[in-house]
This record gives sequence, structure tokens and C-alpha cells, in this order.
Amino acid sequence: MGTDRGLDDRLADLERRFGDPHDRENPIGYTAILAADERAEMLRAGEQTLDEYGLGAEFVPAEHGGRLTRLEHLVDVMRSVYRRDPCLGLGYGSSSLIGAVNVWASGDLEQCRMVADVLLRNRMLACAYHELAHGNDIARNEFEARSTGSGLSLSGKKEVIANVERAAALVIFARTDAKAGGRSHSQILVDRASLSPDSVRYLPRFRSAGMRGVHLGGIEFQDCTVPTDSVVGFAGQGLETALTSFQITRTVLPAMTVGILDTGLRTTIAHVTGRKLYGGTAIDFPYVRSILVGAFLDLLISDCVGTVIARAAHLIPAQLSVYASAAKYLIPKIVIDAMDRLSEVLGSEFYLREGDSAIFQKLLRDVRPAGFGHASGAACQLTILPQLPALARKSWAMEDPVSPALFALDHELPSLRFDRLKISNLGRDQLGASLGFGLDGESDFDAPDREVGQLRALFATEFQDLGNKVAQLSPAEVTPDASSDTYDLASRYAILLAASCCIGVWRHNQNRSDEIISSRSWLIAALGRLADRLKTSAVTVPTQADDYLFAEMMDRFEGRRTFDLAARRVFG
Amino acid sequence: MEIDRDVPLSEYGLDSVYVLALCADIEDHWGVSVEPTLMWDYPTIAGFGNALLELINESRPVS
Ligand SMILES: Cc1cc2nc3c(=O)[nH]c(=O)nc-3n(C[C@H](O)[C@H](O)[C@H](O)COP(=O)(O)OP(=O)(O)OC[C@H]3O[C@@H](n4cnc5c(N)ncnc54)[C@H](O)[C@@H]3O)c2cc1C
Repeated sequence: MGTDRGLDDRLADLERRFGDPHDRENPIGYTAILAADERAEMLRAGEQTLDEYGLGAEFVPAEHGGRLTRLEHLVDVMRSVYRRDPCLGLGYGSSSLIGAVNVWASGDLEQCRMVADVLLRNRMLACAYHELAHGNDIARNEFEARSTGSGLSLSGKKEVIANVERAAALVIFARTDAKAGGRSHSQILVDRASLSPDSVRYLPRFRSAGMRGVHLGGIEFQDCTVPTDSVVGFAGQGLETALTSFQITRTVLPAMTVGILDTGLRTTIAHVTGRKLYGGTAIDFPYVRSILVGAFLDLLISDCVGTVIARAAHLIPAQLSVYASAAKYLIPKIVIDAMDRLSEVLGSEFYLREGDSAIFQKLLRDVRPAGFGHASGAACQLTILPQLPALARKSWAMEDPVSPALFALDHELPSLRFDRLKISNLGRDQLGASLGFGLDGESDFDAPDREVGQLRALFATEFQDLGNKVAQLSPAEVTPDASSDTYDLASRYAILLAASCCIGVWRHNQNRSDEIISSRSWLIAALGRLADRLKTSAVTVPTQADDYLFAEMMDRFEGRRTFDLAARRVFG
Repeated sequence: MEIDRDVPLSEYGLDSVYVLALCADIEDHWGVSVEPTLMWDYPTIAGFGNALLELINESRPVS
């Protein structure tokens, strides 16, 4: 598989350039990263290294001259960056990607070329959606692009925008029609250097608790004229473009942040293996072990969900709407909870801004925007919720089985097609429905296993129960005013999807017998962990699973391999 | 509440992002597949009704 070898080479190359994070002299080591964070600056040496590596090309589809062919590969590369420094991940990488996907989805050839050119030259794109007055409620954004006959006149403010003062080009979400409704906004793509300086003002930088190095700025336009052909897609297509193209970023960004947990877990293990307490070593305490193993499991579960949903983008793109929202809702939640629990194990170390574990306090701050940025968890629940009744009615009990390629990691995938994304699932959900398959008679299950079978049955019952509950929801109950019990249905759905991802990955990768994901211990433990999240007390994870997972985790720690599905060699 | 056939539904407080869910119900009820953006393109009851009628007629086999 040529592309995969290409990926391995790229990852090895990136890791080599990054060097040993613990080397105090390394300009891209933790010492330098923490010093830049204290100054609220981006790590210059890190940005230079990513320039030399050519990170921007990872965001450009191959047909426009870049290296983007598979979302999982994009995630893998960016995960390396997030493992090292999340500010580089977001401030050098993801914020450009978020802008670019709008153009890949709806831009014309000229616009795609322009954005490709920016990224291939290692310049940046800023994506200006957010207005302080409207937050997640982008359909009420006011920034205006008024047609003047000879062009478009831009007026209004965009606030808390990454790199707005240093990007080569801007993607701005603007109102192109005063009416309310779904056809009143458009993305405007502009070359920043071409803007008339008299009609543009930059607002003071917003200082932040985490992601401190990322330049968060604001921009105010006043009657700034830009060419009519700056509109991405047709005028009024903006909300559709946002709701489709952001399915890609809402899938991959959470999966990238798994890299933060990787370093968080590694740092915590390093601390507790050296920490002597009560005549023993902290890592030998059962409580400490169970938190570490729990974090390892959370990381693997998050990777399973991220991987399967990234594959769904290729395979069943018209169903990505709810999956991307589920990923964006659930993965950051799992990752942030795990980081919080690890911080308890670190004790006072997690609070110190110096010493061997000092990177942890930075990661704990940097991970937070994963939860609320680029659509908050609640906004994602609300994308899922109104769709659930139709999914239950039309899909869950009667769906066609999904292709095993969704889960089988060695399977090739069709290429990514932005034009196949839809703003709603229209009642189809093959990933969710696969949770129910094979339960009657276990006919399509190769290796029936009593314990696994019981767990699957438990999740299938939960799924049926969810189906019954959502079938009773009226359209009036699935709006932003929904009760918190109703919101809870969306989160239960996301957890059930996660179970479906874990079961699918386990079942369709049995050929990888040397790997943890084909083991029943992993599956049983993962499902037990998800059952905890569902607050179902029916499952207790057997302790031998803990021992097995602990051994695997330590093996990876000592062998300097990542804790995710790929278990890649890293610099540590 | 009286709904005027010619006033966009968004003016009655129907959120444009969350109105999409209705398309699946329409599909069930009328047996035609509806692009979820149809409600955005035809935001009034009158306009949407006409567009839907056209879809229904198109999907009928010509006798
Ligand atoms: C580090 C960082 C970088 C950023 N970079 C950019 C950038 O480059 N470009 C850009 O445009 N923006 C950027 N932002 C802004 C970011 O996009 C917004 O913070 C985000 O969209 C959330 O908006 P808000 O914080 O105003 O939350 P609000 O929408 O005001 O949310 C407040 C509360 O209401 C809840 N809520 C919101 N919507 C719903 C709903 N539908 N249903 C139920 N509850 C809901 C939320 O969950 C939350 O609890 C950045 C922010 C940060 C911190």
C-alpha cells in the first residue's frame, strides 16, 4: 500500500524533526514549548519546522496538489503535532484547515487554487465565523456583505479569530441577505493583502487561559469593497457549506486531540513510576493503576470512534451529519475527563508550571477548547437530536448492513468527496443500526463469545430503549428549548455509536492478532467503560482485563510507542 | 396561531438549522425523497407546498 508507506515516512520524518521532547536544548522540546507558552507566543522553532516539513500540504486534497487523500492520515500527522504542542496543532494547523474545508466543499476551481497555493506555500488561512454576540448560533450572524453592483461591501466585526492578523487569506461567514432563514449567508474568500487598509481595523488580541500562544484577534470592516466573485459557492449557500464541510473538521479535530491525552498519559506514567510513597512506588497502588488503565482505554475508545467516523466520511458521506456531531460531542468529553482524572494522580505536580511534569498543566489548559470550540457539545447534541426520531423509525430496525470496510483498518476506501456530504442524514444510520445486527441467532458473528455476547445484548437493548424514547418525541421537543432529559438522549446515542465503533473494529480486525484491538479483553473493558458512561450498572470489568491492559500500556510507555490504535514509535 | 401561507416560517420562530429534521417526516408521509435544503429554498408554506407537489407529481409513473 503505497499511500500508507508514504504516511509512515511522513510520520517518521516529522518525529525526527521534532526530536526528543525531554532534551532541554531541543528548540522544540518541552522546555522551549513551556517558555513560549509563558510568553503567550507561538513556538517559532516549531513553526519553522512545520514549514520545512510542509504541513499545509496535508490540508490540500491531492487533486489540488496536496497530500490529503485519507482523513485518517491527516489525523495521524496532526496527532503528532498535538502530542508535541497543541498550540502548534491549532494555531499553525487546524485553524487553516477549518477555513479550507469551506472552499474544498463549495469553492470554484479558481478559489480552490488560491487556497491550495496559500497552504502549499506554508501560509495561513483564517476562518472568521465567530461574533461575540452570537456564538454557536451562526444563523443569526450579522457581519454583512452587501452587493453594490460593482462588488461586495463588507461591514461588521468578527471576534476571537485565530491568526486573523497574520493569515494570507480569510474565509469570512457573512450575511448576504437580510431575511432570516437558511439561504441568507455566504462565505467570502479574500486575499488579506488586497483589502484596503482604510476600511479594515484589527481589534486587540484576546488573551486566553489555554492555547495561550495562539493569536486570537478580531477584525472590523467598514464598507470594504471586495470583488463579487469572492463569494464561495452561490450567494446564500453559506449555511449549507458550513453544515456540510464542518462535518469533516468536526470529525478530525476531536480525533487529533487524542494526541494531547497521549502526552498527558505518558507524562503521568513517568511521574508515578518514579514517585516513592509509603515505602512503595505510586504506580503500584491499585487506585493509580486503575486510573491509568482507564485513561488508556479512553484513548483507545476515542481513537476507535474517530477512526471509524473518519472512514465513514469516505464510505457513507451522506450519513456523516450525525456521526461528526457525535464525534465532536463525545471525543472531547472523554479526553477532557481522562485528563482531569490523570491530574488527580499527578497530585500537586499537575499544578506546577515547572519541573518534569510541567507540560501537563499546559495540556490541561490547551485541551479545553476541544470541548467548546468549533461547535460546543450542546450544539452538537442539538444537531443530533432532531434527527433521532427519523433514524429510529426508518433505519435502526431495518437498515442494510454496512460494508466491513468501515471498520477493517486494512481495507481501501473510496476517495473523499466533499460534494457527497449532506446537511441531514434523512433517516439513515448504518453505523448505529449495526449495533443490532447479528443478535438474533448470532448468525453473522464468527466468534460467539458468552461475555461479549452479553455485553452486546446489553447495548442492543439500550439502543432499542433509546429508539422507543425518541419515537415519542414531538418536533417541538427537539429544538434549542429541549429539556435536559431530551438532550441526554443525544448523548446516549453518541455513547451507543461509540460502542458500535468499538465492536466493529474488534470484530473486523481479527486478522491483526498481535494487536490489542483484536483481543476480547480490550473489547470487554471498552464496552464496560462505555456502559459506565451510560450509567448502566449491569457491567463490571473483570480485573484480568486490567492486568492485560496495564501490561500493554507499560510496554508502549517503555517502548516509546503511542497509546492509540496505531501504536507508533515516537520520540517519547 | 394563524400561519400565513406567504410568510417565511422562520418568522414564526422556526430555527433554520433545526427545521431540517422535518424532511425525513415529509419523505415518510409523501413517499418522495426531499433534499433537506428544500425548506431553505422555499421558506413559506405556499412555496414549499408547490415545490413538494412538483416532486410528488414527478415521482408518479406516467399512466
Ligand atoms: C482558542 C480559540 C480559538 C478560536 N478560533 C476561532 C476561529 O479561528 N474562528 C472563529 O470563527 N471562532 C474561533 N473561536 C471562537 C469559537 O468558535 C467560539 O468560542 C465557539 O463557536 C463557541 O461560541 P461561544 O463561546 O460564544 O459559545 P455560545 O454559543 O455563546 O455558547 C454558550 C453556551 O450555550 C450553549 N449552547 C450554544 N448553542 C447551543 C445549542 N444550539 N443548544 C444548546 N446549547 C447551546 C453552549 O454549549 C455553551 O454552554 C475560537 C475560540 C477559542 C477559545
